[in-house]
Amino acid sequence: MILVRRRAGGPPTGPARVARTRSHELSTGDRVLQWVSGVAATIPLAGLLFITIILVVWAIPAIIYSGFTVFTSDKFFIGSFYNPNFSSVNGIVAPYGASYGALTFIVGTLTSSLIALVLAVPISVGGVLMLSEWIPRRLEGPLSTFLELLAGIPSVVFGFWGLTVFGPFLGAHIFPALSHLGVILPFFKGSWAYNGQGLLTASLVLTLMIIPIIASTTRQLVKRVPVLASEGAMALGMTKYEMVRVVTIPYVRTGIIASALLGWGRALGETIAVLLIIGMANNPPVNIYGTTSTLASTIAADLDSAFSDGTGMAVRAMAMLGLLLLIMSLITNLTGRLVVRRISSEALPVGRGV
Amino acid sequence: MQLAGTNVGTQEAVSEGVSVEGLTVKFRGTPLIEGISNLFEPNKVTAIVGPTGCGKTTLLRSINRMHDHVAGMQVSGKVVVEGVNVYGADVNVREVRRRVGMLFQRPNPFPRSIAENVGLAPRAHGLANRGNVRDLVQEQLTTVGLWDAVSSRLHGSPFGLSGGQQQLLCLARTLALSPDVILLDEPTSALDPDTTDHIEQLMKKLSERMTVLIVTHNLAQASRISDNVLFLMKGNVVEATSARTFFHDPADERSRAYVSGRIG
Repeated sequence: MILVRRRAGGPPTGPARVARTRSHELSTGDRVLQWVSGVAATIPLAGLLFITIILVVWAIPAIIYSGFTVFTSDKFFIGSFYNPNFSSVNGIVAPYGASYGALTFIVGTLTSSLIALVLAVPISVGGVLMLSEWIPRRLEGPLSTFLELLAGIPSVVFGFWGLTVFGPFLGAHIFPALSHLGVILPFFKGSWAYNGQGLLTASLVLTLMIIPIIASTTRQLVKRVPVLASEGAMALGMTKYEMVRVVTIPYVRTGIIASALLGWGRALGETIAVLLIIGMANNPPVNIYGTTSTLASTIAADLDSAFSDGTGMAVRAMAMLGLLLLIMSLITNLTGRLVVRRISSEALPVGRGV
Repeated sequence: MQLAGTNVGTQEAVSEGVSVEGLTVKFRGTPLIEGISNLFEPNKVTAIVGPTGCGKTTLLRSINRMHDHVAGMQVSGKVVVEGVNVYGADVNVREVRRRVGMLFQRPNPFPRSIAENVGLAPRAHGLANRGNVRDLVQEQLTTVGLWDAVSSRLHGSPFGLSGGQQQLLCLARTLALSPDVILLDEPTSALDPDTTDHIEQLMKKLSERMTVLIVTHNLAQASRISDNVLFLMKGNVVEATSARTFFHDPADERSRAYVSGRIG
């Protein structure tokens, strides 16, 4: 069987080539369309480049001022603006006592998003497989719609709910029970804020926020598993569970990894919900319940006061945090692409090569 | 009523074959096959032939209850495999499918390693354990003549194999459950002549120890390998007879027209 695929960016076929070579014959409408689509295609790339360049340029003085302490120090202090003295490092002048160690925020960002990812992937994948294989078909539609509606809830609403309802509930009823588990699982040991503010609550809310992202992608993938492949398993008398394990999961694995990384990216950059829930402490979390801050939430919370720094360095420090976040997102994104490319090279089509 | 298991490797010839009694299959109320009755003789190859849409595949898929998974399919009547009605009230579908193997129109290996493709189902059915599964894999791959080609890449992907090799792998996967009946749904329609010939030889050999049902559009193939022929049109049996009679002296005028190529 020969599949005819048109490659993106390949040579234009027949009529398009004719139209392109005789551009002087194009109508006004065609010219306008050419321009509009050209501009539209350039904007995203230009946007990414522009933002990256601006961030780098703005961050450079803060990077020079801090050096490697950005990664090693958890002391982040934008300095006392009213002190007549200044701190000067490597020729960069900043308010007195200024220190831009970002370790707290790096740790906060990574832990909160990773906990969310670890919880969201099995819940999403398990839920989708449940919906597609075991739940009666007439319930599948409404339940899936409900799942996807979760994606439409604004993050500030998630934050508000987490701060006023979910956090206090966890603090009063769940965390006490969890901390008893500390006997078996040491990372559950420790004390928590009475209103539940802190790392674990933020992670749980992030989990809810990224479940729809992972679940909706996984659902599309599960629907695309070839019937012929599933029937092969059924014809051997395999149970649904065995079929899912032997056929469905290998087929959707690549896509799940890709969607998990997409969800991780969302969790890394989530700002307002985390800001409201994580407690915004200027230190790494003391335990799994501990208050801390993330890169995104710190920028949102501190940028306003950073502008009152007469030396301008505080804003540059914020740009540096933004740059760190951008780099993290790019790394997860690129890693995801690499993983997907490597795995999908073990192609899985049914009936191919015939 | 549960079908008794048989041991891998110590199969005896089957005795009763497959008997279909008044089998009707409807899709959302529209009949696809209507009241078909036929005995598929044990240790024989029966070819199910007929024009497109006559219900060949529908009949084949009712024997191992593949219609169970398609919404809107209603099956009535009896299908008796080795003395057990597979649509009986307390029948174990898993065991029915263990005893009735199926090969599809196109190869559909699992997206797992070559060895796992053969070994997973016997492990799931408790017919092999971690210790002896490797021998079973080798035995079945040897039976289908694939061992020499894949012995060095048992843990590799089956999708690197040619289409014909993939289909042989699927056959080995089915045989690993020691079925009494094997259902073939145009198994060679997508394959090259050499592999087709190879699979046809295998069919003849397998019929010594199991009942073989093959759906085919290829009359030449049917005449080469079948002992019996079941000719269907519009969901009904036109003629059920020996291959010799069907191809040389069919009783029904429509059979004669079909064999001579006047209707297709």
